[in-house]
Amino acid sequence: MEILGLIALWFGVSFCIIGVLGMVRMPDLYCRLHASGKVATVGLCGLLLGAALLMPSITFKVIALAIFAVLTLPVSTHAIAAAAYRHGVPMTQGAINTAANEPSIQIISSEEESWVA
Amino acid sequence: MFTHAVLAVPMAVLWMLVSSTISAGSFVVGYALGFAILYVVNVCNVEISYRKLPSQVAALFIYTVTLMRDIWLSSMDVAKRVLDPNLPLNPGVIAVATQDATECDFNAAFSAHGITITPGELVVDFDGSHTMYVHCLDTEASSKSAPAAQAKRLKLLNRIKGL
Repeated sequence: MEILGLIALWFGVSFCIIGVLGMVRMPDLYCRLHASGKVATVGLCGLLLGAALLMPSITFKVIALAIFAVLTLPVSTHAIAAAAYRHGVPMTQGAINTAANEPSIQIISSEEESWVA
Repeated sequence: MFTHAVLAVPMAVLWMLVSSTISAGSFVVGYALGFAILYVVNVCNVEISYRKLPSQVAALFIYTVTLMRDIWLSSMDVAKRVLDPNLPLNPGVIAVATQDATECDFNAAFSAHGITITPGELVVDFDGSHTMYVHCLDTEASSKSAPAAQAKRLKLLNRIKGL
């Protein structure tokens, strides 16, 4: 049981590291959100599984935590992405915008120039 | 009333998990709290009938399993891209129709949640509740697969709602 728990913990930690690596390597904000949002979900689940295996008394709380995390992490990712998109944070060069839309709500901001540069 | 009574069951289970006491007493407390909350908030435009309940539960089960599979696949996919020395990206934004005639907020919210969890896709914006703007890591592959996946997801969501 202890070995399984440690394996799960290592698995979770390595996925978190991959998530951080993705944050550094990806070219722009939207791609970075992919790395942080998705890889971190599995990393967190791995950590929680490890915690549950090592300390069986908290198993039920861990299950509840996992449910909440899976439900809410994509929402926070989406909130950050939507805020960035509406502010007009530029994508990396070579990105295709086949949607070719204007963001549904545009936030006019004097700071926008500094991002575009 | 039957709808509230059924929906309070998962809330009672959640209460038992959070308070980490699995007993009949805590189920009763959770059930009462869940029922009260559902009655006050009254979020259910979902109508649950005796006849459709098994099919709804089955659809919910299938949806959960596919969601877990998607989470696993998507993080593997992104991890592979991150660890690849060439960083194989083809990022871009595409428009995906919700394909929902009723323009129901429930469907839109869960479609966006599901898409954000699908491999290499992330909803960045909404146009009402009929078009989603999706940021993809691999634009060409996603623009082919996204509409079909969305149609499947919507069908499942409608089955969960008992339509």
